[in-house]
Amino acid sequence: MGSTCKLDKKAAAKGRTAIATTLEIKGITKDFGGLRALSKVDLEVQEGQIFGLIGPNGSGKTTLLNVITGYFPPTAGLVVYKGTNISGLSPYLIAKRGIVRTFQITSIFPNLTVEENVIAGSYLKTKGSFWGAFFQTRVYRKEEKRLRQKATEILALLRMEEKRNVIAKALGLGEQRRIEIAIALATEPKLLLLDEPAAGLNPTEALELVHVIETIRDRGITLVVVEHNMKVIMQLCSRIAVLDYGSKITEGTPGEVANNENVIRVYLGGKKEIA
Amino acid sequence: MKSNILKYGIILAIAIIAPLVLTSDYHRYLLFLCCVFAILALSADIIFGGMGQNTFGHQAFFGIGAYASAKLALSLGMTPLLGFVAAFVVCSVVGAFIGYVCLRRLRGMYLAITTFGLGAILFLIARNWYQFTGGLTGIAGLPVPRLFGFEFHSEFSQYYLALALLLLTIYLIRRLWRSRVGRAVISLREDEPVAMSIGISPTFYYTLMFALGCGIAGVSGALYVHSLTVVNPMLFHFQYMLIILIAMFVGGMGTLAGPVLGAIVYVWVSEWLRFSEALRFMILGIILLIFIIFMPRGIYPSLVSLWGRLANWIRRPRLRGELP
Repeated sequence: MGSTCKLDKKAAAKGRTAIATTLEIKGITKDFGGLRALSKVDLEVQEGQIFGLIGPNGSGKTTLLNVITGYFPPTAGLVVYKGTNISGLSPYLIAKRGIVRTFQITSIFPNLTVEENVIAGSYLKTKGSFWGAFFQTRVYRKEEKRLRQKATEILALLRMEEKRNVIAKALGLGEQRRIEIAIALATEPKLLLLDEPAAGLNPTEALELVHVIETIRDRGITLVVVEHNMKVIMQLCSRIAVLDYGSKITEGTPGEVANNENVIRVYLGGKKEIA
Repeated sequence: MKSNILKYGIILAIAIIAPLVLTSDYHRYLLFLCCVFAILALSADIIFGGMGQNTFGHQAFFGIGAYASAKLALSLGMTPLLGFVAAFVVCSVVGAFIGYVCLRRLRGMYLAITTFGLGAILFLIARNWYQFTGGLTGIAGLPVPRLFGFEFHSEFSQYYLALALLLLTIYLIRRLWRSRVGRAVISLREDEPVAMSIGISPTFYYTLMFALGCGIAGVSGALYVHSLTVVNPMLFHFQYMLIILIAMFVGGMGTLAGPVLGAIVYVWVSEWLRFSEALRFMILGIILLIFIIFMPRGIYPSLVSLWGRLANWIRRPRLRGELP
């Protein structure tokens, strides 16, 4: 851990030209009873990157996301974020550091309106006390106004302005997925982890999603995307890691990964089985 | 906005005029009871409707608040209105402790069972600790609330004091759900994992809300005993939890008007059932069951949706004419 701190300082000293490592995963192992879901996974995500994580069903992608964001404590290994070890912290503490995730099963606040969902996401970026609300102070009203403006801005980015007053559960899956991203964006994250954002989307919606994710990256947010939709992954990511049975089998640019023998074997079956 | 002010104005006017119309002390006392139970039910609804958690030991805080204020008044001569504040503080501290221990791990059904047991234990302690609680006979001779030399002796004045506290509670809760704290709690109720992913600490906010609910319940307990001028351990009895449940479920959980409406319904129905003390709670139980089965959302939300449908029905023909 100490060495990474030094490295970071060196990188900072060199100025903006140096590529900073945002997230570093060192030898993460996760056991569920006798089942090894992840074994000694190493990853490095650079700042401003869209990092793809792929692999067949049950290969441990979502588990890795859960370990990074604190929902599961790792059995062994370290999660280092900007030079600090964050493994084993509670999810809300990790969120406070700017790491925010979405969920594989669409998870929003179903009984709130779209706008309320986004405003709820701004929790970390508000300071208002209860007494401000009780006495309707000017600070409180100013903050309310600011929250609404911010929500409008985020909803505009996701092309959801017209749906702002609709109860979230009344919307279709594609739109719920976008609300999920809107909630995550409202927290103003530095690192955003998306768990299968394109699952259940039709091709048009998936294409829109690609644009949205690119816009998010252009705002300076680092992304890790877990996805099955290869079109989305290949279009978006500058670097991809492939997991199989809990181990990382390869890592590289989209081109490298697509032509890797191991990856083809994992996805299409080995030569022996074909023959 | 304008229609809202009109609506609240009418309701407030009815509440203020009510004791002038119902002139007997008996009816005024019932109105006072409505306010006390409405505050109690609203405090429990912070936990039930707001947090989405169940507690079945809430009546204990009604008792703890009552004793806190009564004991302070008798031993230190504290004026009852300050005693209300003390009851709030004592109950929220006890509530925060219990809430923290329980809500760190327990949710839903498990929390319900734990708090149910806790309520039963606190009742037994209160009943058997003669030196402190005075046993089943309790302690008499409590001072009535005083404000600038005015003593709230009559049912008439006590009602207005209770109404003032009820309005304060309603305003507090209303603002609460529109504040940052309230939004955090609503997020937790809606989806705990997502709420955590955006940086909300479940234990902290659940404990905070639990403590607030307990504190307000304590105030209602203190208000109740200072008007009766007697305090006894029966305040810890599960019967008060039943009153809370009836007020919440019949009126409408998770709304502000619901528990108040439910408390009014409870007080009046239970007075009509006075003819038989044995059958009273049985019939009330049946009413509760009927409501849970046939009107699970309660009276108030059902009335609101009925009103909405009625308004739509009235508007419809005019709308049709305008559309091409």
